[in-house]
Amino acid sequence: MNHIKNKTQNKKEGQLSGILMILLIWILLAAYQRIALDKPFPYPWEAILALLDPSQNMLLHAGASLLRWGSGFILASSLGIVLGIIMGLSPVVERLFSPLVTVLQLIPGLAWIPITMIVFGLGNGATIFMITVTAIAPIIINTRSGIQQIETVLLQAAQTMELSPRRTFFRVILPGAAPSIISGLRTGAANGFRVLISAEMVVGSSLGLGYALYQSRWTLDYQAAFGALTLIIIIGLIVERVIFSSLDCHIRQKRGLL
Amino acid sequence: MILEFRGIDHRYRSKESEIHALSGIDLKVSEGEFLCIVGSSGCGKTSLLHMAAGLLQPESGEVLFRGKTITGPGRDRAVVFQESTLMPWLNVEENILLAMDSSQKNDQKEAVANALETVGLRGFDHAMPHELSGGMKQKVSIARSLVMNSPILLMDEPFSSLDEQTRARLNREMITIWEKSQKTVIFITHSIREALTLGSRVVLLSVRPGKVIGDWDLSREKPSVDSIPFNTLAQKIRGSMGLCCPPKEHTT
Ligand SMILES: Nc1ncnc2c1ncn2[C@@H]1O[C@H](COP(=O)(O)OP(=O)(O)OP(=O)(O)O)[C@@H](O)[C@H]1O
Ligand SMILES: [Mg+2]
Repeated sequence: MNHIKNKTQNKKEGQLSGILMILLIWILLAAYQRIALDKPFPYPWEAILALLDPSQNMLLHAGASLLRWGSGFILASSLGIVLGIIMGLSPVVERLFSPLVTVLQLIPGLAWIPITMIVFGLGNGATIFMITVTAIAPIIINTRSGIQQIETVLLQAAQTMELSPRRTFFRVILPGAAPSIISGLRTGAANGFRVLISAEMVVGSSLGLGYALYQSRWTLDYQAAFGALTLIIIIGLIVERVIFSSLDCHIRQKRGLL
Repeated sequence: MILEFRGIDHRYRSKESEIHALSGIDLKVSEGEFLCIVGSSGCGKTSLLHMAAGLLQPESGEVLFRGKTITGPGRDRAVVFQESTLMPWLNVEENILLAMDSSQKNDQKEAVANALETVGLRGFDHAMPHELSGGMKQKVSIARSLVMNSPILLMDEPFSSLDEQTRARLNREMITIWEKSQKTVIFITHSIREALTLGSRVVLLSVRPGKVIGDWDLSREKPSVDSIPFNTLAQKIRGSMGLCCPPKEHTT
């Protein structure tokens, strides 16, 4: 137990120094750009200040983005997990949907723009659609393989105990596939997050971090843009490192896989 | 007669090869028997046990449980597998509860405690499988099979991965469990010593195809472990297995 604690503590310290590293590089880069080249490259604290400036509405932009990302991700997770489970359990359905999943996986997020524009035009629906389609493929794939990789002997044991289909699903299949499902959700969330920002730049309207970032081209308000970027990174880090990472950690620790 | 194998023949086929695993197995198991099936690796012991469990359909022939042909797995035939089949995400108690019929609701906790007591793991209710040693895991598997209250226990080399001392201890406990529970046990092993220690009857299988080539009834006169008759019988079985002759890889 003790060394597990040490390990997580080490991990936390490692992450902290990693974040300090990012800040250090930023500061050095900004200092060089400013002093040597006389360019208006903002320092981290200036970006943070711009972020908190109420006239910039940055938090509003961030809220709008987060909401879209959340909706797209929840949509992708629910559809993806259900389809992944069905594909994992039924070879017929797997053969039927497999090519579609491969195609979904191959298409880069931004290539969805034409279809999105035709079907959804500009705005929320368009952005959420793009997030959903780019997040869903890894979720389906990981869920499916998680289910297919459950050890046969465990399923045989379940059979000899004559577990009901419900119990087999909730006590054997789902927990067996859980680590893989979570890793699919992680990749899906990251994919969705990346496309969120670019989608907002193209098909977004009036609110959103991507939109704000793009607007800074015209307003030349680089500090606000950097503020937006910082916020994007912080949100991404929190979701990935705090939420998913600890969920994953919890599951593995319980099974003695750490 | 609790279990009967009738004219079992089984081949595993793949694209390149065909393995004749079992051939002409006729075997009757009486109520209350502790039947040990011995044979070297790959002779079809697991296949035979899986047929009794209903996990494998024989290519020809049939297995009958109390006169009815077995068509699938069932709670009336509890299985302890060769490897650990505890769910790694459930603790000991939850694993055992999993095997329990939902109709036995009120006394479930008590039954779990009793089963753990029987296998000598009292107080380990909340341990996770990965916190247990190999022997302890197999004990939990045995506890799990006990709560199913099945008249027969099918055990596939449950102790083969354990060290000699642990194995000897678990063998003693197994005999106690069998004597107390009045269950029929089919116990697979490749150790002749283990078979003679445990069994009230020992059946020997040959390799590829697996055939019954020896059947010893020890119920009336069981030689005590490591006594002279014990060793003489062990020597005889070893002889029938061809262990004195060429190594088993070359037997066809
Ligand atoms: N699913 C399978 N597909 C193909 N061949 C198989 C399969 N299962 C078993 N066999 C073959 O059938 C033969 C008997 O296998 P089985 O597992 O029943 O032997 P065993 O006596 O239990 O061996 P061990 O002592 O190593 O557990 C082996 O030669 C094995 O290679
Ligand atoms: Mg085997």
